[in-house]
Amino acid sequence: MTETRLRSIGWWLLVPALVAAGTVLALESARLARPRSPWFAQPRTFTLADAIAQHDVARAYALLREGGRSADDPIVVSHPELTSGRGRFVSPLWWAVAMRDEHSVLMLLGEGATIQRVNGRDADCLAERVGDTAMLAVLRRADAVLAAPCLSPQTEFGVTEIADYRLGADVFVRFDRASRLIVAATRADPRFEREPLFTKDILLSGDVLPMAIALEARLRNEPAFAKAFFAADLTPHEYTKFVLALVAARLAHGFVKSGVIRSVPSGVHADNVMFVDANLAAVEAVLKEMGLE
Amino acid sequence: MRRCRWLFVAALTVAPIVGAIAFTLWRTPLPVSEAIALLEDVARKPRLEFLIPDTAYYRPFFHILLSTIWNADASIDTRVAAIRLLQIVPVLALTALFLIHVRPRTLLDAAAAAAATAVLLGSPGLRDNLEIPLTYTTVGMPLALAAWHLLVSPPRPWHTAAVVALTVVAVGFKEQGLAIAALVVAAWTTKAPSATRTQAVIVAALALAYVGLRLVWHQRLATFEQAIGLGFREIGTDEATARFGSFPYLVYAYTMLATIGNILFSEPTAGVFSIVRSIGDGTAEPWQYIHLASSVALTALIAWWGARSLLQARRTGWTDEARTAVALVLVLAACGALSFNYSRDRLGGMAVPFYALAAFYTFRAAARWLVEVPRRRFEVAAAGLLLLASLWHVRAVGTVEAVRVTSARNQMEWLTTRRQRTREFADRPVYLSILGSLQAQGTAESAPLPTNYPRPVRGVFSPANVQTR
Repeated sequence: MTETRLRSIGWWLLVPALVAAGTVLALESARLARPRSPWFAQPRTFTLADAIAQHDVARAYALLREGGRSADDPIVVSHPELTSGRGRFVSPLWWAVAMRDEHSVLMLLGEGATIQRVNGRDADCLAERVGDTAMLAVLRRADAVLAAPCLSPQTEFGVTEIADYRLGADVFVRFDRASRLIVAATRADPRFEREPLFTKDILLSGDVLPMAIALEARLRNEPAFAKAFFAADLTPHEYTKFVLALVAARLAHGFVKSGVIRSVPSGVHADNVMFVDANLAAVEAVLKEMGLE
Repeated sequence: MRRCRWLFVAALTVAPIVGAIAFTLWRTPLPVSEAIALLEDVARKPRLEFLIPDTAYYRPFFHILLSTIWNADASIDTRVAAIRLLQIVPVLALTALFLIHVRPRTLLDAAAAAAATAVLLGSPGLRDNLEIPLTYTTVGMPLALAAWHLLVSPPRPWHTAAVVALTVVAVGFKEQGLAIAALVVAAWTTKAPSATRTQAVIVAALALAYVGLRLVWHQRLATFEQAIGLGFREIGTDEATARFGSFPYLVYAYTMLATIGNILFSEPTAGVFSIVRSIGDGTAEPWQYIHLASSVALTALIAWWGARSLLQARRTGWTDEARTAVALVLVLAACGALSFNYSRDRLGGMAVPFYALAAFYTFRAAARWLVEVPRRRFEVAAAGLLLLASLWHVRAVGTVEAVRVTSARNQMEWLTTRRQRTREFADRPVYLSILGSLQAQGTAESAPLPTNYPRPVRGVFSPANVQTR
């Protein structure tokens, strides 16, 4: 009787030990066999944007390092509110703030990410706009916040928004009006002598997207232009797209007509060149007014 | 071989958990906090300079060992691996020594040994010490158990020298090693086979000399070296000094009792009654109930076993069990006294092997007592014993998770503090160079991470918020 009871208690006490040992053994074996299982890891991401969105800081760091890219290189992201569900180019830091991921923000700052007063690169302004005071405090502690004030809210450019843009007669009328008012405003201001708003070099050199972002920011943040846009019923965003498409189309039109090239080059839509051809006099007039013809 | 059968059963039963802890530690990144500063110290200072007791954190043998590893002519990977082994080997040695000391000879012994090993691995005093490279107390724990094993073993001529050497090494790693002096006194008082008066005098003299040396060299001790816990909140050193600096002794007494309380009841933690507060707030998680309930129940049972053993010792003379009860009381007191300045879970580490040893005897004694009771009571009490053992096994599994959490925390620290560290330590090129050389191991994607347990189990092994990512 005594011996039987002792043996029963012995087994009773050994059972939880065996269960615990079996649990750990099963877990660790499964971890070795299927390390990407949801039990042991987050879903695998392949882009920096996704890694930040998943709050997978280690993966984001690895992707940054593997690609040998700068922490400021823009990434394409999409957010239902902040980008209206469309693909946008933003800085990884901006996206980390949008995702409210303090750890990713600190990681990116450690990797040399910076803030610039350009929409999509102004992570501190985004934090301010969405009322994320904790994130602002994190950026301030890291001395990442710029002294310059935030730009007014600006709509980001979509990945193919400029390339897909078509010149239209109705917008051209408003563009013409806005351009003449803007030119009048710039003539009265010596700042624009030092840094002209439009030159062919500015409009056609470099990457179109950063240039578009910078131009729109300039148009939007200059109080003197606000009246022009109001009067012409045009937004700085629409104006920027129109002027870029128009200058490129006008140039292509000139090359085709002079026989330098046989057909419209890639990157400029044939419809836009046809638009210039159909409205050549008016186009030349407005571009001349702007100092671009 | 047959004589060791139950020892092997117990060892095989605990092996997966100990193995998982060791395997996780093996892949855990070295942290930025403390680790880099320690490595900077050993990179800059000559090895023997660490013997000068001019700091409140005097751990000469640890620093000398770390210096030997870090300044060795080996690759970074090899040196990091050696630093990890510095933490892993003591844990394996402690578990092996524990099983060898209790030496299970029956099925009941093996089951009690497995449950007691879960107590050893699931105690906050051990768990809080599993932090690479801070191996001070983790080295001291197996040394203390080894010393006790020698003290209660049949006498050999070399035992005294070995016990003294173990004491010196343990103290050289951290002042908590002085707890071995309490064990020597316990062994001498209880007439343990290998304990002698000479041995007790030598160890006591060594302990007094050590304390004297520290006080003489470091005359101006801070009233509060680190933040203290009091009741339900933590108090910073400045506030503590302002409030209690003129008469800190009551707070010291509270802090000592807090460390002892943590070993016995898992509360308070660092002097703060965080589990009680969570229960009061209605925010307690399952692991908190498990820790509190299992500790309170086991300590109550240990008290019953201890009283029984001591009463029996009065009648029939000292037994190993009675000696263990005395050793537990004295080593608890030593751990409490050595943490007078501030309380942390890790400061109770030296008492954990003896709490676990007492748990082994308690489980066995309770089982033997049960066989005599009527059937109905037997069933209820055996179920209670089964539940208690189960809760401790859950805690042991929780230690594996805790080590994983530490690993994830270390990795996150590497990923997020680079900017702050490089600016803060801009004028310390050695620090920055070590930071750079260890960056890859700290940010590796392969670092162990906590398990994403399904919702019903979440919060059972460790805090739920560290299991959801």
